[in-house]
Amino acid sequence: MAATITTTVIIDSPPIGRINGKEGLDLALVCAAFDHQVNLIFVDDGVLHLLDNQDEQFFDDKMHDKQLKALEFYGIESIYAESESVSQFGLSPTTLIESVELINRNQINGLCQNSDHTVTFS
Amino acid sequence: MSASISILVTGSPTQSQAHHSAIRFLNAAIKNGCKIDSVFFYQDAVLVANQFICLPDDETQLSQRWLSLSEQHGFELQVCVAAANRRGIINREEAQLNQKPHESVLKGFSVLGLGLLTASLSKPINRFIHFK
Amino acid sequence: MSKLHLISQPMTAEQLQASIARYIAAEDPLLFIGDAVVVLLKHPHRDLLLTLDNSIYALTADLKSRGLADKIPDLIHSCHDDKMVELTLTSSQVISW
Repeated sequence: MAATITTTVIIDSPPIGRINGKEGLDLALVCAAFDHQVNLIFVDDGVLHLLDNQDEQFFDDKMHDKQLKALEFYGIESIYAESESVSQFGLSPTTLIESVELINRNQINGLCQNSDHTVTFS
Repeated sequence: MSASISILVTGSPTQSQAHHSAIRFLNAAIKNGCKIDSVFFYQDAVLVANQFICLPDDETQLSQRWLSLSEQHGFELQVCVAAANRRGIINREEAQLNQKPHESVLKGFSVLGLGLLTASLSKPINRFIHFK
Repeated sequence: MSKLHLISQPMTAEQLQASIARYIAAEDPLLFIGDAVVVLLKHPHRDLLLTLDNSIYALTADLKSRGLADKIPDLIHSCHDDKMVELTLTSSQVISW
């Protein structure tokens, strides 16, 4: 039986203005559908995708916290925010959606090191 | 060394060097005896598959270069359907489905799902390289 | 096995520092291509890179086309296309950033 492929997707661009987050997430979802072990990691401006109080009335775009909250139903259980990036925005971890785990750069390094593929969306 | 290589291109043909770099790499890889398994275009890279691009003669005709390489070396030029639709790069099927008057994809580029990229990522024998 | 870092995006020194911490392990080679080669001339970036023990390469074609081949530090190796292929084939994965 073939070993499970581990794919790490890293999103570092902010929500709303750029499509990188959405297209990165789409890749993560398809990899999960193919039974990859997926690590979805938000860094730099990308952590803003994970804020819990985004008001969806102003844009029709579906990439917002509701979709991110449901990711484990699509096979993505490992959703991470970089703690250094979160601190840089002066955000408390409690302002992020619940399913997110905070990890530091060193830990991200470990996840990438142990992945078969790491794809960045910036 | 006879390795099989999968290439992902996400960079725009006009706002990045991604396509030039990918082609440079591909030519060197073939010269070194590697086989190109597939080239997948995602994000703004799909714009290279637009048949309505008109470039001056003295500029690199990227779309045509991709077509020649694909024909010469027997690999598919795979364009992500979701990324392409979003950017107006549509084949005949998508044009009909979406009631658009014309297709815009250059013949020789195949519009396919993101699953094809993931399938390439799932082949352990493939080396994978991403040009942004 | 080491990972190859394929760096094609220009970035601030702060972003470079963050990416180094996030992605780079001890034996990993770095290859600068495209517009990213310009950072090899910028002081905060080159100073940061020169503190690393990793092998650092820049694609000759991208340096020469920009007139930069003779302006990069000696510790950074200008390399041809076949080196790019060799580095890809001898790495466990290629991370592009």
